[in-house]
Amino acid sequence: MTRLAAALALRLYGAALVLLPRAVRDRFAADMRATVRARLHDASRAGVPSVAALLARELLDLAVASARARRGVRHVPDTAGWQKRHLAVSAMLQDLRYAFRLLRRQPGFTAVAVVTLALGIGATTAVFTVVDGVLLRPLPYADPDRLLLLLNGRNGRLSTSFSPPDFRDAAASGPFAAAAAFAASSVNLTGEGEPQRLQMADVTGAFFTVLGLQPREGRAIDEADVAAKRRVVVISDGLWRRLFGARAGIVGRALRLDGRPYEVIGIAPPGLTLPGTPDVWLPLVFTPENLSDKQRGAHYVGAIARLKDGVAIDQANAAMGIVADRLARAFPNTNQGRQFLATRLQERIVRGVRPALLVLLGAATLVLLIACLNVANLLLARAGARSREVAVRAAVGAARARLIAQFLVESLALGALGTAAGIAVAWAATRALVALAPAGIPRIDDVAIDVRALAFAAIVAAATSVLFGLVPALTTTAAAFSRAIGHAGRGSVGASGTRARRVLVTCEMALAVVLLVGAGLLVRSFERLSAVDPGFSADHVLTFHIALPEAKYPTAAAVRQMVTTVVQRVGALPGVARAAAVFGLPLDSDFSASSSFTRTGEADSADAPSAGFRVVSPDYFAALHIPLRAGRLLDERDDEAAAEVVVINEEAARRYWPGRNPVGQQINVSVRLVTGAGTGLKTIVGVVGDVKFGGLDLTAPPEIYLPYPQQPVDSLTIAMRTADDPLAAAPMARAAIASLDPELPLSDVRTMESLVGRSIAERRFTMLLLASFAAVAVLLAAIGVYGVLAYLVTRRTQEIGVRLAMGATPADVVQLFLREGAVLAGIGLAAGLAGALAAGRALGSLVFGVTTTDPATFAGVAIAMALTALAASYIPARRAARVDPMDALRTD
Amino acid sequence: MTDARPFLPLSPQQFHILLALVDGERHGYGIIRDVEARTRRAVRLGTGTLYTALARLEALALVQESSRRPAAGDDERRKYYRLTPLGRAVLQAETERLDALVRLARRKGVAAGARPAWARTK
Repeated sequence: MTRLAAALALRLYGAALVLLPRAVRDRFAADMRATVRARLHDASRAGVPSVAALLARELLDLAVASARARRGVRHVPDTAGWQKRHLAVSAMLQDLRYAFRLLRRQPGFTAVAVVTLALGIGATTAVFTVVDGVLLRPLPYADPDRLLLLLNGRNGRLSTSFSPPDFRDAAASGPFAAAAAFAASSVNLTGEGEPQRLQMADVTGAFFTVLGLQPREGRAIDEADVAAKRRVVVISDGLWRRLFGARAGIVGRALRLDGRPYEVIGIAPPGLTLPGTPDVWLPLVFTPENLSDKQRGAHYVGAIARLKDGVAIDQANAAMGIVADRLARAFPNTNQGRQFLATRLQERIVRGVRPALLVLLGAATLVLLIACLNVANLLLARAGARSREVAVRAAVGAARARLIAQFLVESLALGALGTAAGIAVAWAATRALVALAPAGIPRIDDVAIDVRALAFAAIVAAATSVLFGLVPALTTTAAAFSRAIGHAGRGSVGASGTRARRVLVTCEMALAVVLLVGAGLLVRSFERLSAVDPGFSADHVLTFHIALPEAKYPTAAAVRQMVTTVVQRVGALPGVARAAAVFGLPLDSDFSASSSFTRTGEADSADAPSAGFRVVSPDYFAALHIPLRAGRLLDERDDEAAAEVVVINEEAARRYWPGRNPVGQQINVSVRLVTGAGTGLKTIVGVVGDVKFGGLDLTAPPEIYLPYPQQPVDSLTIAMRTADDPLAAAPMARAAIASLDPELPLSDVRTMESLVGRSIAERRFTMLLLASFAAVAVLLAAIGVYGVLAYLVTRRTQEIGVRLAMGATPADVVQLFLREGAVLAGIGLAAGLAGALAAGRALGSLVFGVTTTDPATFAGVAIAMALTALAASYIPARRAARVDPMDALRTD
Repeated sequence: MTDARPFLPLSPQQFHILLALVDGERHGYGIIRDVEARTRRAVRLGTGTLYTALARLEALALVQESSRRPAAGDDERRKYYRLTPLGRAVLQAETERLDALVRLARRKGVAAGARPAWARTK
């Protein structure tokens, strides 16, 4: 315990060293830490209070010395002002020593208060740390405020993908100092142990310039690399560590990517995570064909740009708007109604997680507030017992301000202990949060308690100490000063103290109700979401990605042959019922494509229907249990030589062939995923059930399924239905594929169930966190109710004795106090439910399938809270009923 | 050698720090403990005060970091400090200045109390 306190004190002191002038800090910080470590070590032999006292003294000294050094003052002028400050400081130190002594004498009270504060401060600091790391901290790029992500929208829907010619024109619209395009994909690495799949980003020459990043070693990809089509690669810091153990001399060596040698020219700095988390960056080369106007419909590159100095984001949007209008007139088929917009990269990155994080921060703050109210309550109870001491001190001439100051020093001492414990809680909680957080929260891996978090905790602690200390300080001293000393005889704080405690407990109840309603709404949302039918059956399905490198599989025929063989081999493994290849697996964000198409007799236009684009081998629907609704499924006969066919889903049928039978209709799909794909009109042969694609909470998009032989894509997912545990089949599948091509890696080996789980992991995380906050809040509120009633019982022992002596039954007495509890609970509940109605709006985007005013949730919370309050009141009420009337009447 | 007089007077903290280094090199905590022991805990240097003063003394070239490596088992992060010849001369000059002052006061009949002068403000 002392060791922990000393360690925390050292961290705090280390953080406070920022106060020093820079020159002194740079020169002496390490040595000062060593000195303070030694002092703390010596002080820790005398226990926690000495450590705290030493820390307080050292922090004060550091602040004074720093201020003096900054002003360049060499001598302390020995003036009256100095004397006065000196007296005030020594009085405060005296108060502090007294406070610690009091706390040590009441270990039970101290423990409860410190634990309560630690929970509040710890939870708030942990959540703040995450919010700070994810939302607030600037991206690790140069001047991140001027760094933009370009968006491309049509019919009000914004996407991050541009076609190369659209990107070129938007980038040249004027407001940007530089702009770069990128495309994320993956690539096979061979020749470095086991073959493996790497995340890859193709980037244009200005990419690193736009971000303002220098590689940690070597150089970045530049325009010359792109112009000369050099086979060069920048590798990520992570890959450098993973593959080469962070060895020096990696720059200059070759890596085999998709069977071709690439020269490593640089190692990226660790913070570079764009787009996604690539392992390698390669030059993105646009061919004249890529940039031709015919390709304006092929949206596949992301775009970032850096604003010129002095240009506002609105001006950039206006300039791009002019370009977009010109393109819309020139190329109405692809660009009519298309807009180009810019948004700050940081805002875009955190957009998805902002609401949940802010709600959690709000919830943690409520927990902290409840903790403060609880400690204020405890202090009030204790102050009651000390009113005689206060009265005596007032009578012998202590100023009220001085007494209030003493109470505040006491609460600061308590706050300091609570903060120390709270930082320990925050440290553990932050690590737990980072470990438990679902993948997909940006930058979560870098989140750790740091100086900013400690500063936050310190500010929060100081504010809360004043908050929970002020009420008892004011009430107790008011009592002492308003009444003559003799009347304080019964050791009570009287009516004002009791009223204050009732108000505090009511507030606690109300806040706990707000949290409980929020948690309840999220729990119900999660229930609803878990019950959503994804449209396929996820159990017993294993999936993994493969990608056939072009160097080894140069033709569509070779790709088709290999994929067909893989599907056959995997499908023939023991325990595997069905196997299929799919491009566009549901709930897998890595693969997706969509395309516009035209129906028979329709010309291509801006309003052409569009649908998700899936390529599947015949057994796909059987493997995932996707039901057939009309017509037939795809089968072996639909090969490259046969007539081109497609299957659509019900949503597509409903939306694009309303009231008609789509089977037998023909469509013309504009996008080709691969060369060698069929280009003719495609006949719809069947309709299958809808499948959730983007997430369980989203409606299923319209979809078109194309037969694999007619669209032989080289990067796809294999899905297999197994009889037993699907993961157990993974080694067999790996061996089967290695026997076909030992250089072909399997990546993202996952069960379909884990994909479903991952798609709701973020909601699950938010829900669990909010539920635990609510649990702590309810517990604290219950302790509060119990505390007030127990106190009332003690205060009214005499009255109870009289009642019992006059013939009241113990049941009457129990009822009397339960009624007290019920009144508190009732008011708290009413206020809390009203508060929850108002606060519910913050949950807007986080609930699913319930409204934020869901009556069942509100009713459930009201009942649960009422029962909790009654249970908390019952224990002191029982004790009141067992009072011996004779004893009671004899008490003072 | 540089004249010591422009460096006078020293602040009490500076005087105590230089004094602590007269009989050898010390690390930061060593200085603090020496001053506390010598003044029977009447002068207790805070770490911040010590190092801002050390920074100043180092800038004035009265003190320098010693090249001495800590003994085995000692905290390796600690630095040791020692007096420069100039520092020794300044300490000498300050002592003479104070001595002269005290002699002046004595001659006027002002007697020293039971507690040392630097402890009075406590």
